[in-house]
Amino acid sequence: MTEVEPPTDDLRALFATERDVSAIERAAIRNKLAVSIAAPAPAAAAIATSKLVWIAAAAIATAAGIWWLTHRDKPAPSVAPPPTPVLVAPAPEPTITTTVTEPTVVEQEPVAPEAAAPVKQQPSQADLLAKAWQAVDRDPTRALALVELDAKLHAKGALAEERDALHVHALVVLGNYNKARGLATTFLARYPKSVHRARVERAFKGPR
Amino acid sequence: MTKTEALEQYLFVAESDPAVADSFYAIYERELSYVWKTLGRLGVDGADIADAVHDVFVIVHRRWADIDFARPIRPWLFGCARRVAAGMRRKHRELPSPDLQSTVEASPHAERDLLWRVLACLDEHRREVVVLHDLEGYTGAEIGELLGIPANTVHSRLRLARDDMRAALKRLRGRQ
Repeated sequence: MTEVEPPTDDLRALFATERDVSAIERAAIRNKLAVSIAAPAPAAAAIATSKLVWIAAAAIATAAGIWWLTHRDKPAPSVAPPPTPVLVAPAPEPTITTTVTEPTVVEQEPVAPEAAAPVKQQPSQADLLAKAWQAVDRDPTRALALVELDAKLHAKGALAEERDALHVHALVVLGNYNKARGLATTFLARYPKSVHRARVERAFKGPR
Repeated sequence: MTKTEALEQYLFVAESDPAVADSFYAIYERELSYVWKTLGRLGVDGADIADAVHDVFVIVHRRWADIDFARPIRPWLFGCARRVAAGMRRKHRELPSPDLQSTVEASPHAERDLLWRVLACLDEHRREVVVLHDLEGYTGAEIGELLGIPANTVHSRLRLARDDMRAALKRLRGRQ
């Protein structure tokens, strides 16, 4: 096999310029990821739910069949047949009879919400804030616009604390210290133990 | 524990097990920089890179049970990043956006992202080889195994890729 020469100096110098992920980008991706992995993807969830329903249905039918076989000669209980186990997934219950061990599977493709109603989806709070975090240092005006949009769309969203911290940070980057200080004071009173405290406190270090 | 609880635990263990969640974030913290750089090197636009990284780690989370942790994870991550990057490039080809292009040209990251811009000028096959060899330190044989090509092909692509990079560098620097 032929030996490969090492890269020339100009290429080595170019390799050295590669930028790494910044702390802000790292935090933004992690926040977005936390939201994404907390909620399973719609399609996958639908498929999993569908499979789960049929697994559960088959198990129930089998158990009921066994129960019927073992109890059919005994006097009928005064109460109804064994209680139906609760299904894990919230899905329409299939019709189950004790004489059928395998449910008749009706081919029913899960309908994606987009397909059912082609309505433009509202951006999620995680998306908006991730984009704002990405923009804040190079384009704070855009970050501010994203924060304001998020405040309108998700006024009481789960990431309100992060949004408010970002709002202060964007104002600091823009040099609008007066407004940043006002918001920072409210923020620190509302979230005294916030992980964003140090970033928010920078508002007080600017020119007065 | 009821049967329902057992079934629930069996089906949703990756979502609920704190040990799994901890390991996932440990991998995330350790490999984020690698995934980030790999995506940039594979031609994902600077403006899309955070989304692409997110997508790679969502795949990691969903495929958690399939990952063989006895082996190095980076080749697996590289494969994932390669597919996500291809998807992003396809999306851009389908939705040409002159505004985005002008934003990238005028971006303050232009000089900082010079390496990625140079790599973006390369043919996809040559780019993969130069990334794996010169930036990640794999040998020709390892790259051949990873990409399913003979080692001699790896070396010839590498030489051509370096020539292309020097030409692209000259062109891009001349434009600035």
